[in-house]
Amino acid sequence: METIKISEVTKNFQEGEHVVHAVNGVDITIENGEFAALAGPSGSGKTTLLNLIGGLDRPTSGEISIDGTQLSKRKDNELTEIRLRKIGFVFQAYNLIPVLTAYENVQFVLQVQGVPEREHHDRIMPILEDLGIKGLENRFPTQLSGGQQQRVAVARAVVGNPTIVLADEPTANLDSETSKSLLDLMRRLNTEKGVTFLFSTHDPMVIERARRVIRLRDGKVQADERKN
Amino acid sequence: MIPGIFPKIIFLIMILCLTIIADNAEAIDFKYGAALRQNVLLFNRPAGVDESLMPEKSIGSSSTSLRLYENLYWQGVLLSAAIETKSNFISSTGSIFSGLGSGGSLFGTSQPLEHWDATFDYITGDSSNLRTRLERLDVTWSMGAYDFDIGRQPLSLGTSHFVGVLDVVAPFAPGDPDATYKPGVDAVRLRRMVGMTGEAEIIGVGSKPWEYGAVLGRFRLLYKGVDFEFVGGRFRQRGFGGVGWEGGISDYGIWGELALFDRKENEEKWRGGWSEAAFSGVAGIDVNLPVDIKAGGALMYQDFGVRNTDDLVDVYDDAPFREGWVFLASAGYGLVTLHRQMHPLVNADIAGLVNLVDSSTLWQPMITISVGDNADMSLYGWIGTGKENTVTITKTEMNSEFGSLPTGGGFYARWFF
Repeated sequence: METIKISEVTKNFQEGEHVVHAVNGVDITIENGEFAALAGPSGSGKTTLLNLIGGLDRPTSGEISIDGTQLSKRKDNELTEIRLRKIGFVFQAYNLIPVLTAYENVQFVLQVQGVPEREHHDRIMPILEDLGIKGLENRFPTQLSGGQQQRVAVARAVVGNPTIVLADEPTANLDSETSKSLLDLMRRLNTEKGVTFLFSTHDPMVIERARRVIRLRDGKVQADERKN
Repeated sequence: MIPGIFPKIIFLIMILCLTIIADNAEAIDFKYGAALRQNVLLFNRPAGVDESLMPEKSIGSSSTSLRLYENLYWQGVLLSAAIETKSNFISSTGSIFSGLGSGGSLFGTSQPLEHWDATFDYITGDSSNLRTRLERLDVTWSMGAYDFDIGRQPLSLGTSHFVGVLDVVAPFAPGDPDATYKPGVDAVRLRRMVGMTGEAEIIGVGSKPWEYGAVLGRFRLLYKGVDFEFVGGRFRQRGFGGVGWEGGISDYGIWGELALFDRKENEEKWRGGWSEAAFSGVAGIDVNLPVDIKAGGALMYQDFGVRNTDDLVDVYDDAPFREGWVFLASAGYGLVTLHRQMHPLVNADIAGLVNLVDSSTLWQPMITISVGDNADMSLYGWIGTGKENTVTITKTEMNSEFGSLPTGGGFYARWFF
């Protein structure tokens, strides 16, 4: 089942008198349950493409659809709504809100989604339990270890039942051991719960863990490798 | 050291990597970088140590490490390599604290298990040395649910706290300021994730001779907010098994490690505990106090340690100390830790070890400052208290473990680029 369909997408930026083709005619289909990486050197267009998929930017031409919903014809507030309901984000360095507890950091997504408060507990606690952080819900981020913060960040990304979780260079600011544990955590959610992940990276360690590697170069898909 | 073979191996690997990169530039992913670490320590001559053994009243030591690393992914395989060149200098040739001359650890350094001696010594002197070691050269790949990792690589067991009992392959000494990179060991690892929070692993570690290596099984599980790690197997011709835990219950953080070790009757004295097996354990608790202070306390016990100070003189001849995986000499310790984030870029820590046998104490205050996007610096000190020892050329009289450790301070800086 198609989760994301990217058809003939281009994204151009005007730099002075020059037009930069950051994404240049890309066709990709991401299926439900994939664990995929957009790989390529700096400037290859992976972050731009991730921003387009996440509805943070609009393509110059072409179409992106998520769960059959086309993004190009949507107004900004509709894009925000799609982003809120269909996409989860894992940020570099987690970006937890320091004045909120672990529970409240995860709950924040449900509040913004407008999920009735009486349902919050039943939605949040199973995820915290799955991720092994049940019992820590009243702690603030500074009272959590690095690994626990990591799990809260991932819980926040998946609590809204997104169609796909996007991560832009998720290991960029992490040491190799912490990177490994974050990747393991995302991989477990993928294999055990079927959560779809797409991340951009140029880290060989991340690419080794991905089940599908889409290589970009000069804004185009150079190769699309699927592993067994 | 086999300098004849080592550079050739490195050269061949470099040629191999460059060939792969040149032939497959479009299909490989390559990342490289370096880390520079500098550790400088000034310390005084410990009380009770005879001048003939350490003529200077105060001594300086310096350690500089340059590590180059790369990660190369090609055709489903990740090749990781790191090579480290380290220079040590100590201003006295008479120091009896050799560990301090190699980077600030009061308790010396561990001897990582390795089968291939990929170390090259350029300078080996009493007061300075210069050495290059291949710290990492391993290939990683996945096959279905299984991850394989073969080659020289870092390996950590247990909870990685100030003190521990499970990390027997290549542990850091307590409070070692230069604990950024684990020394690489020659290992084969097969790992499989189990469910959402479990992980099973079989680990083989090579040594020279092979029989001193390790064969270990490890199972990790996250249960009700607590990470558990079960480890068992054989290392350095000694069977062992243990469990570690780390997590939170209510508002408290808990951690600990328990282990049982076979005894080597011919290589270590029985100093207490069971005759069949030696027990070691540590259990700790952390609590968040007002004004953002995190306080911790722990108790540690080990059958390998001494029960009276008269035995301190010869305990370091026992196998666990000689082999470099036990560092503290007494049977019982209390540990106190305090941590405070003083500023988003400044962290302060104090760790105190209390020897429960002779009441001596050792304190390590440390302030770590983030001085740039890729750099930080720690200012630290060592302060020991307790009964003085008498150490001369002809006589060593030990009255406490920490009473005659040198008091000193230093800085440890790291720059990643």
